[in-house]
Amino acid sequence: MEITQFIEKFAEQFEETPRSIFAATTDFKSLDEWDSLVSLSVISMVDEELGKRITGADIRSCTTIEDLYNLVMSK
Amino acid sequence: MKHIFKNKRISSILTVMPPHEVFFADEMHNYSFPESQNKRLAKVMGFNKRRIGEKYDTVSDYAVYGIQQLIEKGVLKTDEVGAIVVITTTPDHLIPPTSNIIQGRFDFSTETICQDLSFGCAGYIAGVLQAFMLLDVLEDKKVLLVTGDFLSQRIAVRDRGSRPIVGDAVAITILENSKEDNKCYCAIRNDGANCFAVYIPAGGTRLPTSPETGIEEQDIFNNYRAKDHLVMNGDLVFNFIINEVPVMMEELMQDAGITKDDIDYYMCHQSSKFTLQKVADRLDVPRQKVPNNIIETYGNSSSASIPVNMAYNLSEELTQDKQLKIMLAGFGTGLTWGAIIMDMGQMDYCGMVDFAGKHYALGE
Repeated sequence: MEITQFIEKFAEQFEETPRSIFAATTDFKSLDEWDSLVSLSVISMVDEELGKRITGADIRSCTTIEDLYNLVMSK
Repeated sequence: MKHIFKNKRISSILTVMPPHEVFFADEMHNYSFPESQNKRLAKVMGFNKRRIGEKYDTVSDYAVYGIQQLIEKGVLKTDEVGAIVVITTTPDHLIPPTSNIIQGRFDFSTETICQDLSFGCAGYIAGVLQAFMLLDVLEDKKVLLVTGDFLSQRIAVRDRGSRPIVGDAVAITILENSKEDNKCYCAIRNDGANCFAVYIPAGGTRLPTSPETGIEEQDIFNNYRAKDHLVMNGDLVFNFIINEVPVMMEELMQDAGITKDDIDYYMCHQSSKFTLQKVADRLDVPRQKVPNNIIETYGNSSSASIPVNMAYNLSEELTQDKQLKIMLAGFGTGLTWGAIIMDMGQMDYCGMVDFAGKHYALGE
């Protein structure tokens, strides 16, 4: 999966935050809507779309969406 | 590995519910999160109302009330009982076993086998499996399976991870050998390496309860809980449920030589609406075949949640003169996960009642 597609899928896990603000450099945990539920949705999305398992700690160790993308792709 | 049992049936289910109802909307202020987040969480996870026991409610008091009801309805005769199996993580006392307390309240034979087993959310599967094994040696006697917890007493009020889902309930299931020719397929799996994904640090011998274990501390998610309280590693448990459980369910269907279309209903432990929708999607079965409405109505009552699910959603169908093919699936602390495929129907009784029985005094 390319990073642009990953960002799109990542953005789909949010209901209220506009798609346009999501970029590779977005510090996603600073978004108002970010919470444990979105975190679970991201874990589930990565599992479904890429067949890879990540943990809540993995997500917390990342700052930007690109960090997360790199971490997921290295699994 | 699968376990096959022949000619077994569940003949009755009665769930005993605490009358006291609490609403998520009334408790939202306990959690240090914005209201918009809480509301979105409620929608996705299915938080609405739950049934919570009162302080000093016990599994045995609820079970005794339920068994009295079954006897009064003519569904159970005292001389039919061959075994009492109690599945709980919140026993009345450390000594004696809750099953013995229940036996002593009735005119049951001294030859009644009494067993307490510690299981949480996978407890109904473990209990039915235990009952099946007992029935292989009990001939025409029946097993009274009591499953349930009063876990709300062990969950911190300001823990948004666990508090909004917890419900209390006790279920009584009667199991017996059947004259019908049938097969029940069972699977149960354990991952003790992850046993602390759901646990209560204090209260056992490793860390006895003390004033210190009652002090609430903040975690990294801004939840507050003490060592006396249950702590759940939510994302690990979520990963476990959506990955391991559907795989086990699919393998059991293969072992039973059936496909997912042959199953009328998948009656799962009620973890949350969100996880159950994911399980349905992973199995690629319609979400209507995997009821998920117990969380929003009664809460997650641990080992009682599957019978509550059956009594609330299927009581009419299960007492009609037909057989349904049902898959049961439970999953939780242990980590333990298990599933059973069996035919169900023509039950003598399947229903719910609010507790209106006696609270026995200490040592009574």
